[in-house]
Amino acid sequence: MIDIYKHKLSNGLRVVVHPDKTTPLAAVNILYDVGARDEDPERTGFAHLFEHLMFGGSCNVSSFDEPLQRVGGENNAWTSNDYTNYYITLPAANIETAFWLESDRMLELNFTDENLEVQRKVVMEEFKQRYLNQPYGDVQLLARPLAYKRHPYRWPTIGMQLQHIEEATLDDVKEFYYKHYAPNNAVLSVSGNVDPEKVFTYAEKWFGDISQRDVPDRHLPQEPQQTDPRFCEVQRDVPAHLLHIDFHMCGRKHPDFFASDLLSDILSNGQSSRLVQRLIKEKQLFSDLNAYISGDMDPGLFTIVGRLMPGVSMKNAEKSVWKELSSMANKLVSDYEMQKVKNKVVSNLVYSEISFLNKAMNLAHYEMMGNVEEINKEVDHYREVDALRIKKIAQNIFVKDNSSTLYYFANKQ
Amino acid sequence: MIETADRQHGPGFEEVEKIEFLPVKRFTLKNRIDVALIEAGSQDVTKIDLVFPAGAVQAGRPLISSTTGHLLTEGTRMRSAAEISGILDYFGAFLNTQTYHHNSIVTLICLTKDLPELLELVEELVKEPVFSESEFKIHINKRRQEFVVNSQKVKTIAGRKFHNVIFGEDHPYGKQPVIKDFDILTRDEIAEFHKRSYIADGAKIIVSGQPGNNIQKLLDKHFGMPQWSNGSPVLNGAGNISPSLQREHIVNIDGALQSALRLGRPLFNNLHPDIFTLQIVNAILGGYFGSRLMTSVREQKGLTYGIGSSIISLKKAGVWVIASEVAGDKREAAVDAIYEEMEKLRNVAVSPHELATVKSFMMGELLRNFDGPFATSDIYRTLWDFDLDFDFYRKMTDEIRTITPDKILEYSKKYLNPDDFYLVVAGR
Repeated sequence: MIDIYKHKLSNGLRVVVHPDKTTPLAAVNILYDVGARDEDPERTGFAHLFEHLMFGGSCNVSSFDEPLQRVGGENNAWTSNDYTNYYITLPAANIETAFWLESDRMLELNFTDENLEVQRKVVMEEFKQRYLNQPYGDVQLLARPLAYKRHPYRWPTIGMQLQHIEEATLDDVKEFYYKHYAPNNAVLSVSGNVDPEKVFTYAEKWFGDISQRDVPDRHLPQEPQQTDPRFCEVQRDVPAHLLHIDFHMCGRKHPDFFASDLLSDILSNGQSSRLVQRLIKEKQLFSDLNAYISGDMDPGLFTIVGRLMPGVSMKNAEKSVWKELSSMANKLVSDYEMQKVKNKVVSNLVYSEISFLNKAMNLAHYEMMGNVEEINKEVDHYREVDALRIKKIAQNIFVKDNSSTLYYFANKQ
Repeated sequence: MIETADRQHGPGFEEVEKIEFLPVKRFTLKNRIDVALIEAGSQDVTKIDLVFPAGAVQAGRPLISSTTGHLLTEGTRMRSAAEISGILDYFGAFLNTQTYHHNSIVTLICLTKDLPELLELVEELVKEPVFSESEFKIHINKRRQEFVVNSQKVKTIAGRKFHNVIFGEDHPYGKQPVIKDFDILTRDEIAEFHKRSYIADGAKIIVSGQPGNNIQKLLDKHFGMPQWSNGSPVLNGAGNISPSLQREHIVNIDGALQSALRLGRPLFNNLHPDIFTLQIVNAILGGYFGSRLMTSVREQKGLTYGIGSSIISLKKAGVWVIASEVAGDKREAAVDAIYEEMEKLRNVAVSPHELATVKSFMMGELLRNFDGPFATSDIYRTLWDFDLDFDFYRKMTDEIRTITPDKILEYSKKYLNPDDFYLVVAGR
């Protein structure tokens, strides 16, 4: 349970605060409601490229990092398919500096060709480092367009191809900024050794005079119901075969989200989980095997992915995975197993509340979803899930016609 | 009334003058195992590190110590691997073993209320593992696979080669596993290593979080009895390092889109008085986002996604290393840029403005590193290996506050001489 204080500025910026007096530090986090799903299909990777450009200086501040480092602060950012998030940690006495820097880059960015040119190169190196020059690095590039045919989740945040980044122009960048970066399209959250009233005063002082912008309503092409199983097969110069199966599932705000999350926990969270015990340890078919959910806002993916042990055939591995999935759909999970995954949810929540930065990010996320107070009800939503619900959800998700299977074969060495 | 925002200059700020270290309480168990207790935090969570003199150096050959650590949870005389993982997951606890050069650390993180049950389990894991042949095989086959996958990454290739080059291929710090090590390792070697290394003699315990009033009693009950094993700690030293005679090592990888590079030199460890000054020189060179290397190689030239430098302190030696993955065809430009930044540090005094920024950044970073009992306990554990305590960081903060541009120049001249550096590249 965490204390929450809320305030909304007249320009639409939502501010949420959680005081944590056990730390001398504070986190200032801004979540913008823009992600890779808002990109033009001809200009993918843009939300992420843009995240890099946000550090190139704003109208009154030539360098974002330097004044922050000067007050002992540190910052970073991430982009997902749904959102772009910027965060700062710094000595709590100096939080006003974070308000100055974040508000200035919300007010007006300093766009230059040089900055764009350099960050384009940096992002292209990131693309290579993470996706191309790495064994199995291109799995996401292959799996997403297999699972999604229309929805913009069909490309990863880094973009569909290097070329889109290469071709980005300053005009594209400006248009993207004015369309999505606005007080009425963001949540500001602060946690740490702070006084909520003081935070609201700083918020008014630094963000209060930023005008609202016309943020277009989001009308994304929704993914039509999948009607046939999909397959894709590639050969790569990697040491072991990899099997990757995606299933469509509900979005983050759907009531079934919590049960789906527990379903993935039963399958692969922890050494005692089913996939680990049966397919890695007992049958020794995989060297690693995971089940996880994407947690996307729009209907997302339930993914099973694993690397095969030497000599194991892809067909055999696939069959054994399906056997476990079918058993979830056919048999009720025992009370003990249900209790186990729920206990884990509770303890993970307690562990996550040790970090003030974590709390700031979670607050922003919950407020963006509609209401930050929901954060304190999360555990109850998990507790309410019963074995019958899990079984029903497994029946809905683990269906061949709902699956996209990627066979990632290793070249014979 | 709302104050007007001065967007040109920004708000005022305070300098971080000192770090408040959490207090460390020390006591000993009945069998003389030393315990450090760092009691703090808002959540009823406890972390316990059991440190045993069971590192790679004591084992003498790659894989033995790490395999022993991993297999502790894979079956005891009373319980199967599946039962053990079932219990840990049911309590939502984390248990893992990390292996370092000179020790292995068994770490338990759990809700404090579950400590009595879980410490009983941990005692069993540490004292009575069976190392069954079948669990041993499953583990080794898995590890071999992971090893083969990692061996394809330019980053891993460069990192392994770099350790060979700096410390020598036969030195325990330099020696790297090869595929053959997986084939010759036996279950009996693991059992034997466990018997002589997971013992009270030479062990240490670090407790952090909110373990409650009963913690000393609990630890005494499970780890305080005198005769728990007949082994004795092997204190074989690491010997002298013998760096490569060749300064440049290029591992060619056809078709690599990026080259991983390591540029570094052997150095002393935390016990040398110059370490404090060098940590500041390192920060300026490549120790933070605003560093010289990030500014030049990433932010100005766009040759990489990231570049950094760090000083690594080991028990018997140290190393200073610059690491990056750069555009495959731009490797020479990147290496030139690194040497250029080293030369600048050796010849031009740091401006007061840059120095002020680095000082503030480093003080802020120390605050972050010492935030909370768990982070503090990790730092304390590392210091303890060198028989140091938080006084080390008091000296560090003194140095940060008082250092001058001239001193930075002097130390850069002495320690950033390109002739002392070794270059390792994997890629093109």
